[in-house]
Amino acid sequence: MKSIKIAQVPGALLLGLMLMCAPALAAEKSPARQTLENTLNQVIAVLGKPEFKDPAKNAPLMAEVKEQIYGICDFQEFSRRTLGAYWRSFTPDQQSNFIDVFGSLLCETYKSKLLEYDGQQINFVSEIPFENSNRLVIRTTIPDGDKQIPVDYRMIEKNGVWKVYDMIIENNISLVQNYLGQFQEILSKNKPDYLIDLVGEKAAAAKAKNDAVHSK
Amino acid sequence: MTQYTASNRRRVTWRLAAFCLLLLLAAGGCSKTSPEAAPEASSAAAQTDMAYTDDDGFYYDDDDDYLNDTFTPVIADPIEPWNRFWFTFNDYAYEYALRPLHKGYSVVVPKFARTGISNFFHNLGAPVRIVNNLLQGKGRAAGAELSSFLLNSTAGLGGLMDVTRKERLAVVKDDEDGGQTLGVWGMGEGFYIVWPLLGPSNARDTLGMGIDYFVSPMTYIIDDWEISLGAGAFAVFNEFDEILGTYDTMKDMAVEPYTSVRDAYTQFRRSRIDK
Repeated sequence: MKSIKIAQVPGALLLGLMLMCAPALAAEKSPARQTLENTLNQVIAVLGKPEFKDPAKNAPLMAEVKEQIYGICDFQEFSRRTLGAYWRSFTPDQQSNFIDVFGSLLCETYKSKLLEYDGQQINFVSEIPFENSNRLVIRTTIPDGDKQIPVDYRMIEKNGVWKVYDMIIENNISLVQNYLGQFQEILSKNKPDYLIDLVGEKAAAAKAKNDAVHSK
Repeated sequence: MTQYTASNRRRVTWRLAAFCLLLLLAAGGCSKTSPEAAPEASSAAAQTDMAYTDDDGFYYDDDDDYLNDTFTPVIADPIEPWNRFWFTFNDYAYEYALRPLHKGYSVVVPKFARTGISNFFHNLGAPVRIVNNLLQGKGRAAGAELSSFLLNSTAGLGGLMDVTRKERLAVVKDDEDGGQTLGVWGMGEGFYIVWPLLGPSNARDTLGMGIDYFVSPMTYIIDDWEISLGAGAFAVFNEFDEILGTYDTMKDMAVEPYTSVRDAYTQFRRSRIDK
């Protein structure tokens, strides 16, 4: 009996040490989380302004939001991953055209959802780093009525800057993966330029719809 | 209320026959696709397991590796042309029939009344959810559904008011149905099906829907199956604006809407079954 108790001492000590350190660790936010939190807070601050709901006055605020989105999202990484193996069959020009139109589509669809914003607060749940990797996942939830919708952000670090390259809704629906399926389907039958035009048309339509709402 | 007259017995026989047919269809469908379905199920499990231990299934650790691999969809869709036909049909039906119909309906029936109707039908569905929770070994959720059902049926004026919503949602993660139960028991999805008006489903979830219909006490309390199916359709129509909201978002975002909805539906159901 005694020997077991002695064997437990290091464990208990370790546990005590961990408990002491835990609050200190929790207080320290990782750079990735800090970056994401800053951007989300800034976007929420813009959305909270009374003139945001006024279509006549919110154009500069929308531009501000757009700047924030382009600041936090790595659209090149988004594009590479949604094209998968097809990425290499695109010429550098096609690649950069694709990044432009796809980034614009993502940005416009995000903007169209912002008008539904109604003061919800984003909750940070946890952060999952990958071993030996410049990538991690930040898990959050956003309230929808009295339910919590889980939204995870995949982030990647390049030259000390953390950016988002995928979002996962309901724990399993990845934005990148969903577009990957669609683009594979289209590219299995068509040339890259066809896809670029298609995404460009879609982005233009989304933008026109957003602008129409704002100028109403 | 139920009297076993000759016509009634015929109706029960008809129901049983329909149920057996459904079973056969689903079983036939599953056995046909089982070679694809088996690895599909295991890779799906691996994907969710790996989702946070090592990025996701097909993005490898080496950042450039995924560029060499061709993505193969893990969703069986052998009746794709048929499904695409109904997908397009549904799109027209939503845009030109159901959306204007619901617009008119929401003018005549105010929001609070629609919420009441919605609560009423949700409460009626409690027995089915209780059975499915029990079959999945979710005792606490089953208990919460049961007490919620009893309270809403009495204090909630027959279910028109959802007086236990907050307490129930704290325990019950989502509405369990037959498709999820079969999934928890290890049955694969079979293959993707788009039903007229009902929209995306798969062989397993269709079978689940059939079982739920026969589990529901409403099926036996309401004598006419036309009325009980009609009530179900009305329940869906009553909150169709919510469905349209999701549908519009997906349609605005998607470049290839059929594939986008199919993949999202499948992934969504998989995550529900994992819960």
